[in-house]
Amino acid sequence: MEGDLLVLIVAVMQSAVRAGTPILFVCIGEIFAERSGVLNVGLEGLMLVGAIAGFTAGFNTGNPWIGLVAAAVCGALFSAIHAYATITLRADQIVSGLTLTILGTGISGFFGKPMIGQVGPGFERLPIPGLARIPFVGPVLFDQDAMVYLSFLVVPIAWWVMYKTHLGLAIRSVGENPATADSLGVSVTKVRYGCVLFGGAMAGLGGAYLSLAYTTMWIEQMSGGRGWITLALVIFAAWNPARAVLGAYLFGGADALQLRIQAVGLGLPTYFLMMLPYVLTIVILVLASRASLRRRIGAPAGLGIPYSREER
Amino acid sequence: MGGLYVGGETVQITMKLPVNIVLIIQALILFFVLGGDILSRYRLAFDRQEAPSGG
Repeated sequence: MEGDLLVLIVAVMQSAVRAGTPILFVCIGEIFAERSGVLNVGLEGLMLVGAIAGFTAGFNTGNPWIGLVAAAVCGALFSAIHAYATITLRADQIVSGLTLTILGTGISGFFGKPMIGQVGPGFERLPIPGLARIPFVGPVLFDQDAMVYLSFLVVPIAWWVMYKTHLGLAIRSVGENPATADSLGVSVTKVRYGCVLFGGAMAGLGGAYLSLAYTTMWIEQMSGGRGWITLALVIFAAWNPARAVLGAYLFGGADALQLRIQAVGLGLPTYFLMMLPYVLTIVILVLASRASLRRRIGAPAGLGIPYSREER
Repeated sequence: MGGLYVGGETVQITMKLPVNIVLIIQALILFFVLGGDILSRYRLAFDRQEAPSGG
């Protein structure tokens, strides 16, 4: 009985990492965009575009890596619309982001029509020899697919760039106080464009994870609200890439646990279980907003405000 | 906004357009409205001074 429980826990945690990885990719990208002062609520649309671009490219070439590149490029291209509208034209960031979601949903559905029901190539599970045999930690962290390992690389790099490099300092200063950054010779426009495009590329990768690794097919609206969950997660992570890992796996865990409970059949209604990750989102948002009242968790001060040189 | 939604549904029914095309059109309209907003905030000024002679 004891052993059974351990096996179950390992299985749940393993799928928690799998379910958390797409959210993690998107979250890292959005942290960069928000740190530079641009709120992108179009993540849901970007994920869908990334998912269909990745799947189509992977399906036609038979190589999931080409699919990944295609997803990142398409995600970046799509977020360029948002970047142009909010940075150059100084439009409202929320409205532009919501529009991006509608556009992404429409375009992915349109181009995804012929792909429905097809099974494409995917990332196979790739246990790392040696490391995968460590009890408990091994199967959870090192018996995963290549994209999960990629995310293990991306997170420390993102953290290092954000806190230890000149570029990271420029990004943070542009998000806190663009006028000051501008007066010190940092190009606000360039930094913001760069961050939004990077955020789009990462959202594309997160979407591609869904269609190339999590499942190997395209389902309309397959992101299923993960883009919105990520927005809450960025706040939970306090705009810190390292804390994003914790949050992403927590949400992944809620997702995995819900599927597991359904499979075991405890007699709880399915819809109640499907609600779990979203309830968690609300709870965390409430907690985070209370914490922020107490000690200002460090939201970028310039977030959501378009920067205009003439008005500084 | 309401007009966009109702119009989108009507077009789906009468012209048998798929819902995704409707979404794309709605999003494009919204983006152009957003982008065009800057024209209402600024006035285009065409500078005449250097235009006539090529120097």
